[in-house]
Amino acid sequence: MKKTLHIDLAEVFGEPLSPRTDSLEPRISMSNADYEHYENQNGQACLQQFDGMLGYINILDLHLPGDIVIPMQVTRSDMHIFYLVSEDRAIQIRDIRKQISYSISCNRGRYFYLTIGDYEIHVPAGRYTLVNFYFRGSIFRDGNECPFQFLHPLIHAYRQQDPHVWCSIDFRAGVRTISLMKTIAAKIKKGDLDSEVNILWGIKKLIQLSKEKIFEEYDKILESQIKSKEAHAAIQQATAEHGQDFKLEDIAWQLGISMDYLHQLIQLYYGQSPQELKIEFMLDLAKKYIVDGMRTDAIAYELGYSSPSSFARFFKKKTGMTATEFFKRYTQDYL
Amino acid sequence: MKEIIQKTVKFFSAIGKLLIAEPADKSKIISRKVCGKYRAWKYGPLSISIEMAASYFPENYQLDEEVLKAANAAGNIYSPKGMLYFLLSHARKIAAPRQPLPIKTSYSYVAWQMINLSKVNIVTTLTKHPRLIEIREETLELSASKAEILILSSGGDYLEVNHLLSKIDLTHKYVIICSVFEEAFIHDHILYRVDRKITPNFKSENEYLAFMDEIIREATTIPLNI
Repeated sequence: MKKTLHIDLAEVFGEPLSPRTDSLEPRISMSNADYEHYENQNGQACLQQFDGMLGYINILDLHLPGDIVIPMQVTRSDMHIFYLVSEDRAIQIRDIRKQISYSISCNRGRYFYLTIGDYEIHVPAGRYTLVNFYFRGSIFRDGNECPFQFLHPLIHAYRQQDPHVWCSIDFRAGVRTISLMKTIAAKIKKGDLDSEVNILWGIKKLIQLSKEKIFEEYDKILESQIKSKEAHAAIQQATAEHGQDFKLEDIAWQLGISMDYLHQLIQLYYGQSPQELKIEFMLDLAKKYIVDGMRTDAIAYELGYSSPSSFARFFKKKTGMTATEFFKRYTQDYL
Repeated sequence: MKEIIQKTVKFFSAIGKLLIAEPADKSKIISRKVCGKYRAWKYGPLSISIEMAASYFPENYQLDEEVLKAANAAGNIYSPKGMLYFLLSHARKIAAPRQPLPIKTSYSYVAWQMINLSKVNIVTTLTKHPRLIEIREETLELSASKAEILILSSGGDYLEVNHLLSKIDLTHKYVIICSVFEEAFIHDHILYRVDRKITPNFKSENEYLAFMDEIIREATTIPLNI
């Protein structure tokens, strides 16, 4: 396949070093591919490229002390997959002509339909591996694209030769994806006829894996989501009925889960501990009662406090003002 | 024969010069581009109003033909703003699922054109938040594309925030629109995902900073699918 994506590393790092040095070890090694290593004050980079008839593979490893911008050129509109393996920050692919940015986050992948033009890759300081496969959109034919809904707009754009860049929903690229990419990289060899079959096999496997990842992340309703919603509703209900006079352990028992798991669920989906959630519901109720003009002792009773003074202490501690002050401030602000 | 060729060349070059000499009025160019893009004359008597309103849409957004037909059929919308609101509220919204931000000590943000109705200076107070770092790149689009939390104004009556949002990928961002418009109006008229709408009316700095804590908490949690 003709090389249509040119990553201009020389612009940032100068000419490639020769002979080959391995001071930056690639995370995914393609031993049979073309290899270029760059190094200067901007950092280190190594680019491995493999040219197959049905697809082209670029693996770019970067180790950077500061932020850089790498120019990139696309000379034919094609479908691309990008994966970013890193623990640092997201990178941006920027369409210079249209001034539009697309991001690829850490340990995630994304499909692009890139049109002819100049682009920039904005990479912050850190250690990155950017894997890029590109292939002809014409591999999708006779409706074989049907199961891959996330690719439909891109395939449509490819068929229409749309002048705009399109990108798909992004998805996780974890251990399975990396091991699949390593398998593909290990199977290809220059001058070996099997390499072509292996590239097509690899692209097909990556597309199927990304479909699975997208389903898991975006469409599948997890048991934990249902449970966390139930737990949230149960805590709200218990606060409305008993005020502070109930135990979170009872909620966990009622839902048939452990206290630790309840904590984990609420933290994951609501960003708070169950205790904080309970306090938030109690404060909401208390404020509502105060605004309604209820007396402090009646509110204390409603919220399950043994004495008005303990409720007053709770309210003062959480809001920094007494019930009377809150009422006065509310009436000043809204009346 | 030679004379005829020379005259023909002169004639065409004169026509060419005429075309080049036309004043490069930006609004004319945009409206001509929009006119070509949507072929609004097909949609009937309100075509001019539709063309003008459609020119306020982001360049990489394609209005559906049904919306343009409906706009013409709605009748009595002769002001470009009225037509723009009609088109925006009926236009297809761009789906962009939100991915939670990773849990870490600080988050980058961009604040754009926020108005202020409170005593608290809501732009400078952001710099006092211990977990927020402002991003300033060469252009607003670039800053916004690198930031994790966007706190933006609606962009006035013509909702120009749509142009900014059209140029960035919102998947790993939390988008806050700070505006005096009603929440329903914002959700109806902004074509891209908005996670929170706030009114720029905070009573104290502490309340505002506590609000930002809540935003960070929400931005880092996984959205429930149910």
